[in-house]
Amino acid sequence: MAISRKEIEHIASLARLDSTGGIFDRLAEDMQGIVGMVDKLAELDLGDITDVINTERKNAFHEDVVVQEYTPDALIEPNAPDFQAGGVAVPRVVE
Amino acid sequence: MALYEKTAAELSAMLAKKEVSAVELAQDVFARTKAVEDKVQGYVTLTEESALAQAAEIDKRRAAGEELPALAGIPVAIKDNICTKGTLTTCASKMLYNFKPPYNATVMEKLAAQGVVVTGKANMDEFAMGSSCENSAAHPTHNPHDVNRVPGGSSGGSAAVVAAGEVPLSLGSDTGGSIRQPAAFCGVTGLKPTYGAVSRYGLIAFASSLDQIGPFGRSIEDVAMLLDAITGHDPMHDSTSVKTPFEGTVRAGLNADIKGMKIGLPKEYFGAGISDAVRESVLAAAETYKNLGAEVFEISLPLVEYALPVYYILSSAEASSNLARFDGVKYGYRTPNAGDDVIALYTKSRSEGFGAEVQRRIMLGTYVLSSGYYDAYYKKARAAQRKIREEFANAFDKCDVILTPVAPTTAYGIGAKTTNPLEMYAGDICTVSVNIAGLPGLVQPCGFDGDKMPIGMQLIGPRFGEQTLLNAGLAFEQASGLRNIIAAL
Repeated sequence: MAISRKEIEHIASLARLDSTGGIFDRLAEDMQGIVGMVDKLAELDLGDITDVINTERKNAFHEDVVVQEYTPDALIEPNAPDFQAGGVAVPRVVE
Repeated sequence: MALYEKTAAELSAMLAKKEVSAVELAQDVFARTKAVEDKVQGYVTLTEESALAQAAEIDKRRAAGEELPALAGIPVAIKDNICTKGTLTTCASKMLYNFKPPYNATVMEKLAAQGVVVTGKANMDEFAMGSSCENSAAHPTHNPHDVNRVPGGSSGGSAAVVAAGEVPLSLGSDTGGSIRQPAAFCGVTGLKPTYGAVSRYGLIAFASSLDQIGPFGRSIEDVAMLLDAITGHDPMHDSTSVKTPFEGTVRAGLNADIKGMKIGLPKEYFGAGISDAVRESVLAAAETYKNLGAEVFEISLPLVEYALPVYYILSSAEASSNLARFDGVKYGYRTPNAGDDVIALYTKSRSEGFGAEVQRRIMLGTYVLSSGYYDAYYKKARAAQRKIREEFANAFDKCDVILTPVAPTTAYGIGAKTTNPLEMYAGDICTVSVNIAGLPGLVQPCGFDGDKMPIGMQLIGPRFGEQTLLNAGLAFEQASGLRNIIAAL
């Protein structure tokens, strides 16, 4: 089925991708073809198969053992884009 | 024969007999790497200094009389989506351009226990999304058999460095063919293990229900050695890992006597779209199996025509969820253009940090999971997955292994398929069903086309049928002599 530009922009906003420029025009165009490809699945008659739960597997449990593998500084600081006063700095999120 | 031209099994025997030291071996493979890496560009990070230190440590332990595992001192390259503590792990993405994991993947802990020498991190399609290694943010990798062609993907670097003689073994990952297709394109041997056989802890997730780490080598025995080192139940870290019936015993169990083995040829895998050279080569391998005493017969797996939509729906849906964690906040790339807006921080970091193919998959995945489309796409694809699994299970009632092509063609030119993503996706037709069904798949060379490019064949087994697969692979390898192929460069 054809997918409108407005719909594609909505999908981008759900996916936290920027739809205002860059490569987005090209992506929007590619999406038409890709959705057309996956639409082939509509042809497939699955009869009464509706159960999508993987019945071969069971939940796996293990003991909840508390260990301290890392200190917060050692875990976060080396890779954080902006590390200040023991935390990750981000733009203000509350007014 | 130079050291770099030997298989891991040969090198292991030489190391054990002290005919060569691990340091000498490491120096030899790095000399080979320096000689050819400009042409191949299979690595994104080389770890020569730590490799030589690891090799020196192995030599010290051996000199002290310690009994060491078979892989001790053997150089191994690691795909760049497998976390290596303190060593860059970028997934070939701008998003993780500076990421140094604070922990090791389980497979890295297992390889460390074996005493392997890690030579570096191998190039890949960004976040393992792609089939040509051209989606790398670092650089494309070139096929060692013709540097104007792609090595395949996504584990293109892992396959290319083995084919080029830069290293005897490497690890890759396979979500829809990412070990098997580059193995075929580069003329090496690669195995996608049964889902659950190898812990995924520390493998940066693409599609968690399909991803699996696996080995590359230049012989069946070498692939068996590396498989033995990485399988195992990992209850603390990966709840989808399981204890296999063959943990650590596959190499010892290799047996090339395949008389009476039942080999199915699914007719749908040999039809239109498969090049003549590939079809003829794989059918010739089937004849070889007949001559070796196997029973070879046609079977039917008609659902293969729906495998691509099922795969792209399921894998993209999982990718859109898994990659939501990359938001520019805690690690990796953060946009300098967000101002004071936290939503702009997320969207700009993601749009600037991810390449086009990754964004396509995230968009498709978000679409098929979104309200109003979930039932028609995701839910139906999961139901079709069950049907595909049943189709394979029925096939394995009749045969022990299934023989197919790996890809419709041999390796194509760099840039040939980058403008149309659908053309690239179509090349995955022979491999994705194996992931959808959670089965093991072995790829090894079975010939060359008119341009002297390698052709691979795929053997598919039932769940945990790795020993049977590798036995069948060994029988063909011995009959054909197609092993330890190193590109001339």
